Amino acid sequence: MASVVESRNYFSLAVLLLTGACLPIADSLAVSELEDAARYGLRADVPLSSQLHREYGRRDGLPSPWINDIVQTRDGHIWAATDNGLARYDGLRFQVYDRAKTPQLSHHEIRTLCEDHEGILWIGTTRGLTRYKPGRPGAFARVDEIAETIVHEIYEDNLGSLWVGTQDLTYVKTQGGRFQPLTEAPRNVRAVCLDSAGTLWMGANSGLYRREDSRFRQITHKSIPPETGQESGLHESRVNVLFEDEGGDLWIGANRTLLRIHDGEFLDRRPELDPQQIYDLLQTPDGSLYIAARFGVFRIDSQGKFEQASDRVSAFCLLQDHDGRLWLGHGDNRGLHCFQNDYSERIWDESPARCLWEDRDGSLWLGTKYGLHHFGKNHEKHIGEEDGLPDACIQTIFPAADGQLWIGTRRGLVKYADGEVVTNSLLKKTLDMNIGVGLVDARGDVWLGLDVMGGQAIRDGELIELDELGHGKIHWFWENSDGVLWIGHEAGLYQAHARTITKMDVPAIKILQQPRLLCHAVASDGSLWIGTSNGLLLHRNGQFVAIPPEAGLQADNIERLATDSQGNLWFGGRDGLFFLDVKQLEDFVEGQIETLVCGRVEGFERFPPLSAFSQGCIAQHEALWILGESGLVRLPLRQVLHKPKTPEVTIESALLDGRVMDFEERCEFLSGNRRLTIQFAAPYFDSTWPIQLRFRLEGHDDRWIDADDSRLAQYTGLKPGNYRFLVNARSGNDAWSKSATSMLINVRPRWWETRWFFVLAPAALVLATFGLTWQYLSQIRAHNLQLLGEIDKRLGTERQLQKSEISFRALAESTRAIPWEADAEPFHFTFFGNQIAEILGYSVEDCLQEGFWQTHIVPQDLTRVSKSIQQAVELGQDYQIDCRVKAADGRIVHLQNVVHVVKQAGQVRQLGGFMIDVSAKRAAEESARSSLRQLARLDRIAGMGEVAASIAHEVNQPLFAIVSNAETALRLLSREFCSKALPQDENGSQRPASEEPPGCAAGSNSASREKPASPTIAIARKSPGPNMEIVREALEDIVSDGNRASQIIHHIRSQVRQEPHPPELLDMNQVVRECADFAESELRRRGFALRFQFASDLPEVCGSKVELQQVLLNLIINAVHACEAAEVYAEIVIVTAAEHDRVLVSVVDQGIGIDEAQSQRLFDAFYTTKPQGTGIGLAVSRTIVESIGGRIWASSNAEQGATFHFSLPTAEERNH
Amino acid sequence: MSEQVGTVFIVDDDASVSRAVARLLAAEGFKTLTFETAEEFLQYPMTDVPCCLVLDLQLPGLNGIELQEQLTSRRPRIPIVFISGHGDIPASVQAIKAGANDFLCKPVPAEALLSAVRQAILQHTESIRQETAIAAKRQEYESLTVRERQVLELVVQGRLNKQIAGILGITEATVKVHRGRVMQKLQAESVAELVRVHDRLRQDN
Repeated sequence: MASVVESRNYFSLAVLLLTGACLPIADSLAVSELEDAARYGLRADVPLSSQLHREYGRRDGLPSPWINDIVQTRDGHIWAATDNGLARYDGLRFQVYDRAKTPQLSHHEIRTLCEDHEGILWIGTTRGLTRYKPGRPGAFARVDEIAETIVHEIYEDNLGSLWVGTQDLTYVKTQGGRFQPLTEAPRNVRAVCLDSAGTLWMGANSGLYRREDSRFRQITHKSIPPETGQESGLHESRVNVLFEDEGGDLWIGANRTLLRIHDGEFLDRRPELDPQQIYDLLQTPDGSLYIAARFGVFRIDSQGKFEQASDRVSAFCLLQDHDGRLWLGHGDNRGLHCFQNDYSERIWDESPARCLWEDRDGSLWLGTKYGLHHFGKNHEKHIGEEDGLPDACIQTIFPAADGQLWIGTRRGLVKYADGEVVTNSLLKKTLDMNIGVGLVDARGDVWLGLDVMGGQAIRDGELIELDELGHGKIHWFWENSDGVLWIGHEAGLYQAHARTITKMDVPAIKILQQPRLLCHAVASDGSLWIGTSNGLLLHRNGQFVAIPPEAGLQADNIERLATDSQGNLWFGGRDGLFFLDVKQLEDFVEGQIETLVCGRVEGFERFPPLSAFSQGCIAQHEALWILGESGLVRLPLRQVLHKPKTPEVTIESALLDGRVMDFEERCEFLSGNRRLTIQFAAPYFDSTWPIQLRFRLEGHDDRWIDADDSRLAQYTGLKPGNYRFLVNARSGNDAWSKSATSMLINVRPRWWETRWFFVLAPAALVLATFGLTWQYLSQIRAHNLQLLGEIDKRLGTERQLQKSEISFRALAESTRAIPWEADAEPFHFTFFGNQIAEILGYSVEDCLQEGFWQTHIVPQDLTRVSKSIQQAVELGQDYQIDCRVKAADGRIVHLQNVVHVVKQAGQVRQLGGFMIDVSAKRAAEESARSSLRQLARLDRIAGMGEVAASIAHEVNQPLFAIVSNAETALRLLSREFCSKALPQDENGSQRPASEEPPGCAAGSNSASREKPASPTIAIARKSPGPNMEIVREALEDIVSDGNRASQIIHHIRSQVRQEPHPPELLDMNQVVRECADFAESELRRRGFALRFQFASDLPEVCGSKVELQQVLLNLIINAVHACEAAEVYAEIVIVTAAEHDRVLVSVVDQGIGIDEAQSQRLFDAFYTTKPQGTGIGLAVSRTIVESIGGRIWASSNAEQGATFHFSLPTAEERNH
Repeated sequence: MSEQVGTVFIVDDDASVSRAVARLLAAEGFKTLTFETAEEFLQYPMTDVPCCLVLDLQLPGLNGIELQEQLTSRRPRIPIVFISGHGDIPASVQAIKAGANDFLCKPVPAEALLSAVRQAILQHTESIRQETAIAAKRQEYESLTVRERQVLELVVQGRLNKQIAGILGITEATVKVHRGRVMQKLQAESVAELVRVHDRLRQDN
């Protein structure tokens, strides 16, 4: 909490009880009663520095100790505008609104604040204006009209218009309107004031202005010193503040002076304030004018007395809060200050006060460190060592039985009688004793408590050491009305009955863990209060009651204790001075309450530990007398016990799952696992009585819940329903305020929590069950009907079947197909139609015989047929198979066998079908095939013609090589045998292999197809051996070239031969390469190149090499034609690929391409797009490919041209 | 039979053909080098020894005619003897026009090939000699000063000394000195020879 600068902490004191009836000398001490209303308000007769004072800085939560403005809003909060954000103080903590949390603030430097009559707080920053309306999600909002400018002043006049002075323009907003710039007003307006006469005044950087007929006239005055040093009037002086006082005078706080205008006349100026900047002005109800200026706060009281009221530290702003406290905002990093009335009176301040006693006459005796003071009715007297006191330090004063006074000093006891200090031989024995406490009992015995040294007593004229009390310190004596003496001793509580001292066994002391009994006080009803080092003890009606510190005492070490006439208890310790009212005490003693709420006396927060003997005191004069190191202070009880107003609690915000809700007395949300947080505030600045808050959610809480300092109430998972949130407060031990602040909360049910749902859900369930049942029943009924219909239909069908079977049998027997039936496992025929005799010439009986078919089916077909039967039985699939059967007359009859399997329970039981005589069809097919072969041959011949030139070249090449080689051989031979004399010339005839150019070497390698690694550089050698070697090489080449030529011829022959070409296993890459060799020369001549993309590991296919090469040649020629037609001379690519179980060959050209319509008919016979085309080539190709189970097709390339593909089954696949 | 001086480059994609041709030429004493493609040949670093090229018309990649086109920029021009499998008349005309020495059809009689090659190599030898001479002259020409070149230009145009002096703005005596120096540097005996040398140089450029 706020650090408290205790302005009276020099009071190290004791509290003394004055038991006298009246205190007449009070008047002589000039004790003046304070007015009740001015509980907090400052008194003009006390300097500001002597007031109760608190200071708030960074450690209290203030964002910056540089305060530009202070304002108190209607809800009681104190708002401080700092240069690092806005801070709101509620007496407990500073709530900071800075740029990080409140981006709506246009700048962190807050310049000025103003609350208008609607409760909106206007915040002027260095960058514009922001408004704040509490309790809303968008509480802060920027004012767009006033942005990017320094706001100097916000002022609301009594008509409700808001004036905003900025660095640039001045704006005005009439009630309900928007901000409008006042172009005629001066710039840099720092103060606005609408006086009671209705004149508008403005203070600006350039001086003072008055509005006259909507124009602003500058007011100058010679008494205003110019800032520039020239005598030019007020217009050179910046006016910071304008203020109209109660009397209607206008005060002008300028940069150099303070002026007053009375009835339109400049009245006076305050030369004391020259040359100071005046920042703020405030008039308190007592008529004092407070002036915040560059060098501190000044005060002019109603009599016109001027005084410096504070340190010479620049003061920026002043505020009197609703209770009358004065708030002061400092510049120079001195923070925020709060001043309030100090109602204590300093009665004596000349020396440390030790003890106080009021005698029967009502005069006051004050024992101090430097002698005894007697305040009589009409006189005042000092008694010191010069008057016979053994020591000037008075420790205790107590009355003697004869009405005289005993004085206990640090060095012995004396008697004061009839204005004289009396001592005798007996008393001289006490000279070495430090008398702490003393008492004269009813018997007349004098009891003395010494510091540390135990007790002594004067009985019957003798000084006796009280051995029973040992050497512990005696804190107090008390004699009750029955003459029993109570002794508060270090070691415990003792009683003395007729001089017999006994230690009391008090269980309550044990409860308090054997504390030291430090002080006592006797209430007016005779009960005894004992202050201990661990709480309080009460003895009443023979009973002890212990009040431990945990009950709420705030102080544990109770060193001072007093009761007042009403029974209130006052006690002090090192933590401060506290009090408990009598009602609470009674309730506590009777067990009605368990905790106590103590009040705290302000200004005694630091209560120094007691070093000497002490006595408490309460005077009847409604005052508490406090003795201390610097004298005597009187506290008027009425002021202390003044109860502050119970603060109004406001509900600030409601957050649902951390999100601010918009609420207008009521907030609504859907139920669920949601966290509702309600924040409330109760601004309260009194520190005498603590504030307590409690809340309750009606409908949820069955009792009130005490709120802690967080001022939050949190609820999670509220069930649907209506709730009312209540919060109220009390100060001190007051009754809780009746009017609690409330907020309605409506938790809306989710749909399955609504009442409708509970009513409708069972109904819907019943309806749904009924509906489903109904639907199920009707389905069954429909199903039944359908079944009945089906049965009827079946019966009809059965009849029809019978009929149709009869007619079918008749039909079957009349066709040239043989119907048959057979059992599946093991396979044997069970039935044949009569046609078998006609077709095959065997009787039905012969055919049904075991082994008949094995002998009559042509052996080539036998395995295939038996295999297919076996497969049909295994797989249960219908199939067709052709086979050849020897007829009785020796013909070979082609039978097409259509087989149907008959299954029962998933098992093939029977087979049936027809054997159809297709001999005639086969014969026709054979004939067609023969013509097709003829056609294919013609096509091949045509293809040969197409590449005739190529063939010529192919033949020419080896021929040329042969001729050249033969010529060479001849020449060498003739030279060898004819010429004996060989010319010698070795020069250049041989070239070492290492000198061979790389191109040459590469060429030789790639060209050595027939004869690997043969040398490419032929070297003429002159010796017979080498020449013969060359001859041999030449001859070898002749042989291989001859073979090559022969192969070409063979190839051509095979192409044009008519004989059939048996299928063989082929590597398609090899087939393609051979064919290409054949055509390549021609292609090259025509300007084309061939490129191959061979797939490695190509599976073998089964087919005729000649035929497949024909297909390839057709496709290549086709590609060449397509390219020539498009006049594109690019390469033609042949691609081979393995695809699943097939080999794919593609010929890719970049020719004219094909369109969709063409691709359908391309492979039809006699279809051609070429002028010289016959339309045979592709058709023959298709026949060839399809005859070996392949497929041929064409597709368009993505870019240009077409690709012709054919795919062939692999040899392996074909065997399956 | 004398040892033939010269290298024969044989470019033919058919290895057996090129081997046979190479063998034939080697037996006649020529140094031979075979290449399978035109590209290979183009990569071979040429030297200024007498040589000729026996070139097949049809080659994979660059064909014979195209190779011939590429070789026209070479100095001195390599003589080319074409051999072709097809008796392709348009191609042969084109080749001869482009400066081929001979165009022979396969199968080529050995004697025809040999004589064509001999002829070509002789021609190439002559070309090399001329080239060397021109190079010498060019070097001489390079040694002329600017003024001397100007004088030379005007002399070969048939201008008189007087005219030259007028055009160049110098005295006639100076023109004579320049002219003498030009004759001396270019080793020309007469004006006619000077003109011939000049023409050769210009042609060459």
